[in-house]
Order: sequence, then C-alpha cells, then structure tokens
Amino acid sequence: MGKVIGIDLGTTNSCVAVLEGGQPIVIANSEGGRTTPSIVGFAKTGERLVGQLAKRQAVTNAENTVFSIKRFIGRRWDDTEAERTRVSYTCIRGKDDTVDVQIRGRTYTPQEVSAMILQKLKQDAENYLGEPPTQAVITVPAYFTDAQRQATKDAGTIAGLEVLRIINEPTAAALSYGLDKQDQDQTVLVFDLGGGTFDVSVLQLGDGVFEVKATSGNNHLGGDDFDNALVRWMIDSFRESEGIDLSIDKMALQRLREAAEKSKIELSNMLTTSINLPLSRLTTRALSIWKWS
Amino acid sequence: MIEEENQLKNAQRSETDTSEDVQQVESETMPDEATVQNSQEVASEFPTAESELEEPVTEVVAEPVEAEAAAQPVEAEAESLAIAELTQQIESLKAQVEERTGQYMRIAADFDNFRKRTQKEKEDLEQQVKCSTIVELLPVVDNFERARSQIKPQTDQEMNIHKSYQSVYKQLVDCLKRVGVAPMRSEGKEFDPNLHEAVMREATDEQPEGTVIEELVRGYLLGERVLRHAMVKVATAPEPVITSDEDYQGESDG
Repeated sequence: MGKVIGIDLGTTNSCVAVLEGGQPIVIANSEGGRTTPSIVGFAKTGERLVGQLAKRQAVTNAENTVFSIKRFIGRRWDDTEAERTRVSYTCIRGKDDTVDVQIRGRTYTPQEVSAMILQKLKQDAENYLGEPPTQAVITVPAYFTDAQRQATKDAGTIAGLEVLRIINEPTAAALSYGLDKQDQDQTVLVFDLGGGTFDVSVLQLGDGVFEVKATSGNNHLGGDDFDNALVRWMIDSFRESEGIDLSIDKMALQRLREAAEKSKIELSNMLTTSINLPLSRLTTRALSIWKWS
Repeated sequence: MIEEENQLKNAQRSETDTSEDVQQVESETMPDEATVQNSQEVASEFPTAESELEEPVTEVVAEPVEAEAAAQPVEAEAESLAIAELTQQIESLKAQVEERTGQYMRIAADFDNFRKRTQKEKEDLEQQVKCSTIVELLPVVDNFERARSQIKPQTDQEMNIHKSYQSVYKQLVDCLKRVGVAPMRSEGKEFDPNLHEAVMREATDEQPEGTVIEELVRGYLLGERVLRHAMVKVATAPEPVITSDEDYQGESDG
C-alpha cells in the first residue's frame, strides 16, 4: 500500500508532505526547496515548466506563464473581472462560464493547470518515497465554495491522484499543532499569512471535530506586499538622502527586492537587521514592520 | 457437635483407607487418582474407628469402579478435544508467526530503504552545506568585481592599495576554484531556466530571440550543481509584442 501524501496547493507556493512515524515530513523538491512556486510556464519548444523553473523564465515569457491559478479555479467568469486584470496571461471564457487560460493557441482549464502543479509535487514525492503515491489529501481555503472544492478535487484526479479528502487550510493548521488531541473544547484563531493572500479563521473544536465558525481576510495581501513596501521605503529614503531615484534602474530595483525579502526573512527571528548593498546602506528597524502586526 | 464432626472425619478417613486398597489395585492404570488419595490420607489428622463404617466402604468401592468404566470414553473425548484445541492453537500461532514474519520483512525492507535514503540524504546534505556556505561568500566576490569596475585609482598610492586588495580578490577566486566552483559563461547562449533567471528583456535584432544578451549577476556552478543562477537580460523579437517601459528601461541601463 502506497503512502498518502498531503498537499498544500497554494496561490503562490505549494508544498507536499508525508507522514513518517506519525510525524509530517515536508518533501523537498528536485531543486532542494521545501516549497514549489505554483507557476506553470509553457516554453517555445512546447516544454512545460513547473515551479522554480517556470518562475525563472517568467520575465522573458510573461504571456505564457500562468501564476495564481488558484484565484480562478472553480469560479465563474463574471466573478473574476478584477482578478483577470492582474494577470499577464490571456484568460478566455470557457464553457459553463469557467475561466480558462489560453496559451499558444491552446486552452487549459484551471483544473488542468493545477493538475500540472500537482503532478510536479507528485513526482517530487515519488523521488523521495521511491514509489509513486496514489492517494492524496489536499487543502483549500475555508471560504472555498463547493464548486471550487470539486474543481480542486478534479485537478487531483487529472494528476493521477485519488483525493481522499479536501481539508480546510485552517483545520489542517490546527491539526498540525495537535489541537484535536487535547481533550477539551476550545475556540482557535488561525492566522494564515501567505505569499499573496491573508486568511483569518475562527475554529471551534469539540470531540475532535473542527468547525469553521467564521473566515475572513484579504485576498491581495501577503509576504510579497511586505517586500514591495520595503522596496518603496528604501527607494524613498535613498532619494531623500542621495537625491538619486533608484526606481528607474531595473537592475537596482531587482537587487533591492531581493535584499528586502532577505531582510524580511531575517526579521522573523531577529529584532533588527541591516540591508547592505554597495549602492546604498540602509538600516531597517524591525519595529517598523512589527509595530502593526 | 464435636462428636458429629469427629464421626464425619472418621468416616472420611475410613473411606480413604478402603478406597486406597481398591486404588492400589488400580493404581497402575490410574496413577493420578492414587496420588490424590495419598494426599488425602496425609491430610486427615485423626485416628480412625473402623468398626462403625462398614457401609460407606462398600459404597466407595463401588463408585470408583463405575467411574472407571465411564472415564474411558470421557477421556478419549477429552483427548480429541485437547488435540483439536492444540491444533487450533498451532494454527493461530502459525498465523501469528506468518504475520510477524511479514511484519518483520516489511520492517526490514523499510529499514533498508531508510538506510539507503539516509545515505543519499547524507551525501545530499554534504553537498547542500557546501553549496549554502559558498553561496553566502559569492556576494563578496561580486563586490570585489564591482569595486574593480568602479574604482579608478588616480595616484600611485591609490593604485597600490587597489592592486593589493584585488590580489586578495584573486586569492579568493582561486580558493573557490579549488573547491570546484566555476562561473557560468552565459552571454550569447540560449536562455535556459535551469541555469538562468531572467530579470529583464530587450528588443533587439542583433541576436536571435531567447539569447542571453548580458549577464547582470554572474551565475556559478559547483560541479554539476547550480550554486547561483545567473541573472540575465534576454533578447526578444525586434518588434516587441508588449511595448512596456520595461524594454526602454532595459536599454537605458544597459
């Protein structure tokens, strides 16, 4: 009997894990990362690139690189107008009012694109386990409708996985902390700040069963926005002190963005960090980020 | 009351005595019962008055004989029952052994896989640690290179200092080379997401679409592994499909 894999199919990044001796172990992808960007790129040669590879070629191939497909899965064309303006690939109305993606003259449903990401995760899991996994559990946001859940399940099926269960993300988070084994009824607030979305849910736990009492959040707030805010702050303060506008220099901007992300990550376990780039020297105080959180 | 008790005990005593005789005859066939009787004898404390007890004796003599007759088939039945029970036990034990053997085999196989995997993981880890350590040092190399391209020494003394620390840079590069680090030579090659990270693109007709025009941040390899992906500028077709400011900016900072 094969092992069951657990998949977090995220908007910006995805992750796959497996239970080993009762403990969940995150499976690293072929590039060594613990998460895989939820990006699918279609190269000129017809080759399909998923994850880091797709991300690296996104700039040269923007119109054929699909990201954030989770924002469209199982949703109706008319409900996604705002989302559609934010993406660089071509969306077309599919049958049954779905949002399909058109790449090099071919259309793909969001389920198919999601399945490509799932296939990549499945492959990584197979490399790790030594045998192909056949069954999976996939998490979805608590606010997902039945149609979105079904579509996610279909994506799993297309990827050749039997989806045993679709679990709410906040529930999965609570389970991973073992909150179901504490023999007491309790109310839990789950705070999920992802790469591009921010969800807050209130769960009630009784008899080992979680019930999502309420869920809310911001669909366009995530770690990437933190990076951008830091980059803007750096540009502004550099302009003030040096009178040079870094934002017109693409290369400088790129380096600022990397430095911003790095310093943000450092601030997860340090109170202060400094950003030191040969073109500028700035000190970020942790307070400026953490004051409001 | 006490008298009555005594009588009872006496009766028991005589019973055993007489039955013992009978038993002695039978003892060869039924050794078990004989021992039981012997122990009964030991247990009885009081001396006996045999005279009173003619009747019980006959009774007792009759009993074991009857029991003897009945015991034979009962025993056979019990024996077959016992055999059945034992075979059942054997069966269940066999099943258990089989199950355990299966379990053992699985665990052994699991362990074997585990060992292989940890071995592989260990090797990977070694590589990874090496990679992550070297990656942290690469920005130093970058900045030495930036310094070399930016700083224009004016006087001899400045030239001296410049040369000195540039020789430190050379030493650093040599050390890295010895560990197995090699820079990528990306310019002019076709864009490959396995090696390159596209950060910009530029419309040009000098080079075919998808060619790396410029390496903005140098990429490095450690053997077959990519240490750091090269950040590159990639050529696009001359008539840009998307006329974004990206392309113009790309030209301005080239």
